[in-house]
Amino acid sequence: MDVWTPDRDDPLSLAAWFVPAKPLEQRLPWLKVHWRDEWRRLQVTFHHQADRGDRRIHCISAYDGSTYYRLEFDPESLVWKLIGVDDGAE
Amino acid sequence: MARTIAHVDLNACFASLEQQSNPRLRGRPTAVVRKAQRVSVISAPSYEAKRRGVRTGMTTPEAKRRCPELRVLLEDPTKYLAASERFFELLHDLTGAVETFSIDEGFADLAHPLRRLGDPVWAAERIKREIRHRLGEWMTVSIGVGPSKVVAKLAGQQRKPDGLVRIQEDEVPNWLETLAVDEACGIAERTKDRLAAMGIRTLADLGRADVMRLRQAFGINGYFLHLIGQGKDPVPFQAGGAPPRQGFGHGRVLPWPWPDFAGARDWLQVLCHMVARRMRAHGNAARVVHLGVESADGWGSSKQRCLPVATDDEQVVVEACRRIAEGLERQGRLPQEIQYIGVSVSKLYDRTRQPLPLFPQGRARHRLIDAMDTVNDRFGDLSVYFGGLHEGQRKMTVHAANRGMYRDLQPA
Repeated sequence: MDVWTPDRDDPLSLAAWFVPAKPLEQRLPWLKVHWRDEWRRLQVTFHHQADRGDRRIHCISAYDGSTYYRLEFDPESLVWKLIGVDDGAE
Repeated sequence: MARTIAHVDLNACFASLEQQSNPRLRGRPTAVVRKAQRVSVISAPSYEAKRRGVRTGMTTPEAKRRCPELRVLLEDPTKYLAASERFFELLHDLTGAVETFSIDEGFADLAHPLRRLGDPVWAAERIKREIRHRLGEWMTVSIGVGPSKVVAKLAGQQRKPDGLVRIQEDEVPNWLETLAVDEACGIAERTKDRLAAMGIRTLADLGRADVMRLRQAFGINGYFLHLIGQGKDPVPFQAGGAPPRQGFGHGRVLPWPWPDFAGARDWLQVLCHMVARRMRAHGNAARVVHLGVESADGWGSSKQRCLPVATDDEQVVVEACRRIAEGLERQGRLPQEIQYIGVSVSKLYDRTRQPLPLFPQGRARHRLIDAMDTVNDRFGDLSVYFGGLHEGQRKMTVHAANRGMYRDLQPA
């Protein structure tokens, strides 16, 4: 399985644009992410919600043209996590 | 009233959703598995993988032999459920009358008076566009349109992926002449062979066959088969939510092929425990127990047994499986080396309405099972369990923890 998980101390900055009037799958069309000294514009390819214990988190799949990112967003703590990356590395 | 029914089927749903999420997978052979272990079972291959011979139910080593560049991914049930909800919401918004068939298939009434969709082919094209818009540009559906669910589903199967086939009511009789019996949902290899022995090879043959002869051979199912052969629905279209649960099941690919069924009994015990516990959690007892076994090269056998009374006791399920296995062995149908075991129960009843056991020992066991469920609900699964489960539970735990290191589980 080729999706790898970044280290916990691999920091990430993120800007997200929400379109509140749209259904969930269209509410977050794209993200801007600063990771590993580079700004990246990511198109959201799939967005859904999942339960983690008693919390409901957002699971977001995104793509910048060459690399796939898997992120999670906790709307209670407002914390974003990068939990998976597929950049073709074995 | 004449109906126009569409069967809408998301193509290679799970694998396509993974390719939709990760564009690096698009156009590449991809498959989804249930468990991240050395030997797992393919639950959903993409069309690229299917063209290379990868099939649902195949073990991962076999799939990799057929397609070395196959990308194998762990399933993501929350994603698939979210997509399924959107899919059925969309169908309902567009058509007003939807019958759920499975997580990724449904029937829609295109002639519903409230929606006035107009031409069915135009309506079907609109469904395709909306699915791309709401689920993603990589997601496709195959749609079959016909005067009944049976015809619509058969039509949808003719062109996959991303197909659209319409069969008009007056075309049905001639069209059924061109279809083999096993193209219909619910008619598999064994039924096909039995029908062939009766001289029935096409669906039209089935529709023309003497219904009494079919009933003698297949029981009440013979009547349903006769209807299917005429392109009619055994169960009419019914708009509403998901159909009621039909059963519960669990299966496991074993870490090594086991030389005999007795040796695999520990694994069977755990599977029966999981099935019985889930069944009780949903308030059910079951009368039919089904056992399926498979060898490493994919040769499989299965049989079911109807119990005299419905049960929710795992030990009764284990005993039924043991008898099924004995029956298979007598018929020479038990694989030499067992790589996969699957247990399921069906014909469900409300467990609170079942008569209590007649004798004190039975009633004590019934109370004990309820008490154990209470403890396990509070403190976690397998906090307390019957002693016979101990070895199987240990093997499952070691198997999950070690993944690649199975020396201690190898049969002697």
